[in-house]
Amino acid sequence: MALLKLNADKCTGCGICLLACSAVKEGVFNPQLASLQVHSRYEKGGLTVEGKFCDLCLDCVEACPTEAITVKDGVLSIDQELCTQCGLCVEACPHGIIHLSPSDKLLLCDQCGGSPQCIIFCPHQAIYKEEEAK
Amino acid sequence: MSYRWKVLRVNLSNGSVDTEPLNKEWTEKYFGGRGLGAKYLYEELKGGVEPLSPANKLILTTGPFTGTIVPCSGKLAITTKSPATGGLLDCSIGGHFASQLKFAGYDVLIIEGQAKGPVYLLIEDDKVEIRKANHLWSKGIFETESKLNEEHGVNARILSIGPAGENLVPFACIGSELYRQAGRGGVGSVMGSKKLKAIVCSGSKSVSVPDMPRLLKLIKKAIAEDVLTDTNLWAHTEGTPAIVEMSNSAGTFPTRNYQDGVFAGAKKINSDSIQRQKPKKKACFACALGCGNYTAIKGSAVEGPEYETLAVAGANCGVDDLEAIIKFNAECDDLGLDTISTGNVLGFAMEMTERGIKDFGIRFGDIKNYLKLPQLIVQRQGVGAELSQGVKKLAKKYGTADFAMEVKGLELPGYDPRGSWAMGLAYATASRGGCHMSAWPIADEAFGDIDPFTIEGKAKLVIDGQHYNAIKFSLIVCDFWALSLETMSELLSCVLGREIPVAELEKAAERIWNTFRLFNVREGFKAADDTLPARFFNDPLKSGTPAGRVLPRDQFDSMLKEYYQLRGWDSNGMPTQKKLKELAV
Repeated sequence: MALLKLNADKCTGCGICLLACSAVKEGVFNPQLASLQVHSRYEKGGLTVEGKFCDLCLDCVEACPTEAITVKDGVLSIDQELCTQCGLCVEACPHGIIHLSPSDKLLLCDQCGGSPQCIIFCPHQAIYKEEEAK
Repeated sequence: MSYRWKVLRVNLSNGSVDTEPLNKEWTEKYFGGRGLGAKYLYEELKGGVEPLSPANKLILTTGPFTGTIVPCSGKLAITTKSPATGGLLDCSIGGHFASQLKFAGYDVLIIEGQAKGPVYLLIEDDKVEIRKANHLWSKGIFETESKLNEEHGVNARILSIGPAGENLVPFACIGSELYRQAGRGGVGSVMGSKKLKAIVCSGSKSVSVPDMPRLLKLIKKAIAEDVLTDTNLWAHTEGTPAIVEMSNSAGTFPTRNYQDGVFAGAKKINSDSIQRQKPKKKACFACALGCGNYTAIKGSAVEGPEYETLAVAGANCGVDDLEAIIKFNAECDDLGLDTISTGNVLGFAMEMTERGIKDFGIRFGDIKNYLKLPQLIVQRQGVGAELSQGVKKLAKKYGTADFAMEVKGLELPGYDPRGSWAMGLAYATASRGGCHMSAWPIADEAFGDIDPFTIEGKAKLVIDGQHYNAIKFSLIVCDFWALSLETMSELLSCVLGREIPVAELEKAAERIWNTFRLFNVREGFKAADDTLPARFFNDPLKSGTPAGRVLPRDQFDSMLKEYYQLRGWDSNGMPTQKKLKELAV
C-alpha cells in the first residue's frame, strides 16, 4: 500500500482529518490522539503548512519489545493483545503520531484498513496516497 | 454530551482561579456561544457598571459543537459590556482558540477584576496560571503571539491585545493567529482595562458525543452535499471580497463616508484583484470551507483584506490602492484596532476636513496620512488623540451627528441601507449597535430578489434573520455555512443525545434575542436609540440603482413600529412581561 502525503497547496489547516482520525480510532474528538499531524500556521515570514504521516520508517517496530507492531499489507498493524502499553514506540516515532489513548489503546496509522478516514473527510482533497495523482 | 460542564473563573484583582459547574438549565435554554454569554453577563453584572472598570467581565463561551467535527464550528464568542455603546457586546473570533479551551476541559471562561500590572493567563488543561506580562506590554499582537508561542509551543493558541487595547481605545479588538479578530465595540479595551495582555491555551482532553457513528455519517454527507455547495463555496474560492462587486453593483458600497454607494475604484480592490495575488487559503478549526485569503503584495501581507475592510477602510476612505489597504489592514491587526471602526473614523475625519469644519489633515484618498493615522490614534498623538474617541463623541463635539455614521456609538460596517431598507432596521435594532452580524437582510434585498425600496414584510425579514443568527452563533456555527434549522436540530441531537426539535431552537432564538434586549433596557436604552444617522434619512444616494433614494424617515418609523409589534414589545421597545413569561427568560 502507498504512503499518505499532503498537498500543502490544498490544505487549509482545518484539522478535520485529525478529528476524523481520533473519532474513528478512539471514538472521541482529540487532535492530539490522531495518527497523523497536519497543521497550517503563521510562522516567521509567512504561512507554513506541514503534514506528518507514517512513512514506514519502522522505528516503532524495532522499539516494540513484544512484537505487537508488525507490517501487514504495506501498513502498520497493532496487536492490542500483545501490546503492554509500555510506550517505547510512542517515544520512538520520529513524527509523534503514535499515541497511547486514555483507554490504554495503542493508536497508530494502519490506513483504516484501506480507506483512510483522513482522506475521506478532507474537504479539499489535500491528503492523498502517494501513487495517486495529486 | 459534548459539553465539559465546567466554567473556569479567573479573578485578576485577587488572583483567584476557580472552576464551577456549567449552569445546566442555561445550556438547555441558551446552548452556548452568544446566547449563553449574554445570559451569564446579564445575571452577573449589575446595571450601570462602567465598561472599563474592574466590575465589568469578559465571558468567553464555546458551544455544544466546539471541538467536534461539525463543520464551521471553530469560533469563540466573547461577551462583555461595550465601552463604545454602553450596551451588550458580543463578538466572535475564528481560529483555533475555542477548540483548545474545550480540549483543556472548559466550556466557559469568565474573567473578572483588574490586575495590578500587566499579566497574561496561561491555561494548559488543569494548570491555570496568571503570569506577569511586563515583557509583552506595549508590543503588537504579532510579536506578542510569536513570543508566547516560543515560550509555550506552537500548539498553544492565543488571544491577545495590542497597544490599542492597552491604551483603552474604544475600538480596540482582540486578535488571534495574527489576523483574526473579535473586532467590534472595544472588546480589546475591556481586556486592556484588566491589564490582561493575552490568554494562552492548549488542551489535551477529548470531547465526546453520545452517538459518534450517526454524527460521522451525517457530517460526511453534510460536507459534500450541504457545505461544499454553490451556496457556501464562494467563501472558500473567493472569501468575503466576493461581496465587493455585489455591493458596488447594488449601489450599497459605502464610499467617502457614505456620501455615495458606488465606488469608481471598486475594480481595483475587488475579489479578482485579490485573486490575482494568488492568496493562500487558511481555515479556522473544523471549517470545511476555509475563507482566509493570505494575500501578499510586495513586502506587505495580511490574511484578508475582508469585505468590511475593503469597504469601510477602502472605498469609504476613497482608497482604491490594494497594497495600501493591505498595509493598513496589517497595521491595524498588529496594533489591535478594529478596521471597520478605524476606517469609519478616518472617513468621518476626511469629510470633516474637506467640509472645512475641522482640519484633521487628511482628505479622501490621501494614502500617506491614511497609513500614518492608526499609529497616531493608538498613541493618542496629534489628531489621533481626538480621533481615538470614535465617531459618536467626535460628532457631538463638532455638532456633526448628521454624518456621523454610527448607531448607538458603534461605527457602521459596509452596507448602505438607502439601497437596502431592511438593513437599516437591522442596524437600528441590533443589540450591539451598528452591526452587520445580527441580521444580514441585504442578502435578500439588494443582493437578492426582494424589492429593497419597500418596507413591506421587512420587519419580519429582519426578525427572522436576527433569530437565525442568534441560535446559529449560540451553537456555534460560522456565518458562512447557510445550514437549515433542521440540520442544526439533527446535529445537536447527535452531540447532546436528546432530540432538539426545530420549534425548540426557534423559541431559544427568540429568548436569546429578548435577553440581549433586556440587557440594554437595563442600561437605559429606549426606542429613540433604535435609529440611524440622519444622512440615511436626508441625503439621497448619488449613483447606481438607489440613485436619488433615501430611507424615508416615516417609512423607517413604520418599519420599527411593526418590528416592536411583531416582537411583542411595547412602543418604547421594551419586552412586555407577557412576552418574557412566554419565553421563560
